[in-house]
Amino acid sequence: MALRRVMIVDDDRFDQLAYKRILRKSDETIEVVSFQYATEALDYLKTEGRAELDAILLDINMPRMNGFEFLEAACRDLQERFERELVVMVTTSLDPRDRERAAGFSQVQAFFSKPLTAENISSISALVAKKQA
Amino acid sequence: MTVLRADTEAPEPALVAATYKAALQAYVVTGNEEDLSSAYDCARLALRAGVSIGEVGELHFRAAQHLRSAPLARAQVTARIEEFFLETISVYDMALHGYGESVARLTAEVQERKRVEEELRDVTFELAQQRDLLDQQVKDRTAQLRSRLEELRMVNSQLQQTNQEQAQFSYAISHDLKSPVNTLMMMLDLLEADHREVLDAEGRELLDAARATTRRMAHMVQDVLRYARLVGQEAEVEMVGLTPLCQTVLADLRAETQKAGAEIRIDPLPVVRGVASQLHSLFLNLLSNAVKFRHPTRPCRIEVKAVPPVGCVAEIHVCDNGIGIDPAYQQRIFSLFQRLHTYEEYSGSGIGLTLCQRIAGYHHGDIRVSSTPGEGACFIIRLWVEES
Repeated sequence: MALRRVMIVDDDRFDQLAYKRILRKSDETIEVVSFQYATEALDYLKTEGRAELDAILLDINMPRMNGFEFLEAACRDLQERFERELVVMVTTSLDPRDRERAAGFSQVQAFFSKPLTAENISSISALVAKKQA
Repeated sequence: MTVLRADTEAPEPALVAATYKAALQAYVVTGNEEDLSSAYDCARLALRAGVSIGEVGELHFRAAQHLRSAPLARAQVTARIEEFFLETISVYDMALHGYGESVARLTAEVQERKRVEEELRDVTFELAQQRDLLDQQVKDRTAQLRSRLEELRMVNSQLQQTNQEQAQFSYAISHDLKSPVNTLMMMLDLLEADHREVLDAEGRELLDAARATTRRMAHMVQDVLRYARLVGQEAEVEMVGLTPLCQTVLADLRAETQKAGAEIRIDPLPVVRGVASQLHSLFLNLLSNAVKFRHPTRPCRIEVKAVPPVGCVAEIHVCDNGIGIDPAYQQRIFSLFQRLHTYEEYSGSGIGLTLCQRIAGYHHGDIRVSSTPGEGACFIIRLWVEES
């Protein structure tokens, strides 16, 4: 299994519970780093010597800093250190413009609707495996 | 001597000749002043008969010839003949002179009159043209304005309809959502009450999550319903006393303020033109926020006061000593569904301040916040701002 360490950025605690559940169902050993504020997730990404992440599951509508603002801030502040990250947008947004906007970031490899399914997790694993190959 | 008095008839030239001959003879014979003056009568008669000045000469010459043959002192006769002729001619001269002048004057007058008439005609024509042009311009402009007005009216009615439809739609959706959400909440409460014991830790956690989420949803539906109602409503504007209004808001919030130990001071506030229900909603949201976002350790103090309005009818400040708002988010808090906290930290739908802004807007006003994070926030509401 290629997916070992995943970051979750979602303000909703219960959505986070759902992510963790579905991830653990696919693999008990997956390590999860989770944040309810994107600002805190950004601080974590900036931490020197932190462990590598295989994927970032990112919500769009969040208080203070939304998903797009997070992507912009990370590209600006981390530059090449953020370039190799694999981001998956997970949202309830029905707005096609959000999907378009997400496609504008090279890091965003997938765009899924909540709740995440087992198939979604498989495709994320496949993306991670492809990147690592 | 024949005296003709019929002025209306033109005398025969022969009569003129005879009259002249008789009158001349009378004067030559008598040399009287009276007989000389009959030369005038003769001249007037001749003029009336249309006798030209040349013909008068002829006529005189014949009459005089006849007299020269008479046995009279020659020199005296010649003198009297000439005198008489001169008198006659002087009438002709006067007549001709006067006539000539009148002709010139008449001609000039006629020409002047013609010129004035022409000018008048021209001016009238021009005026008529200008009037027509003006009429046309007014007609064109009126038609233009009318069509523009029609356009605006149509756009306005379309907008109103869209707005109305959207409000009705939001209202219908949220209203129809209310009942299933309430049912869901009731079922989860039953599950909790009757079956909690048989669930394991994860099951209980999920149940708690479901209940909290459902409650949030119920609040959200309630707030959307309020918002839609405000957008769709045809509100009645009246004079509203803000002090009694804030007192009723305080009464509505009693449970919350008591729980928080909040101290709220309402200073004397003005009476303003407005929609009472909307203004109630405005202050309810602001005061409820002030209590909700209180500082975790400081006693909660809230103040509502009026400041001297500048460029508006009323300026009200709602100030607290709560957690405050980071300057980076001071704009964003007024946008629909924008929140600064997770649901566990602070509940809410992200509608309240948008609603406040909308209400201020309905009262031709605005709302902004001034805050130092960690020290408190002050919401500044202006109503009926004068157009600059």
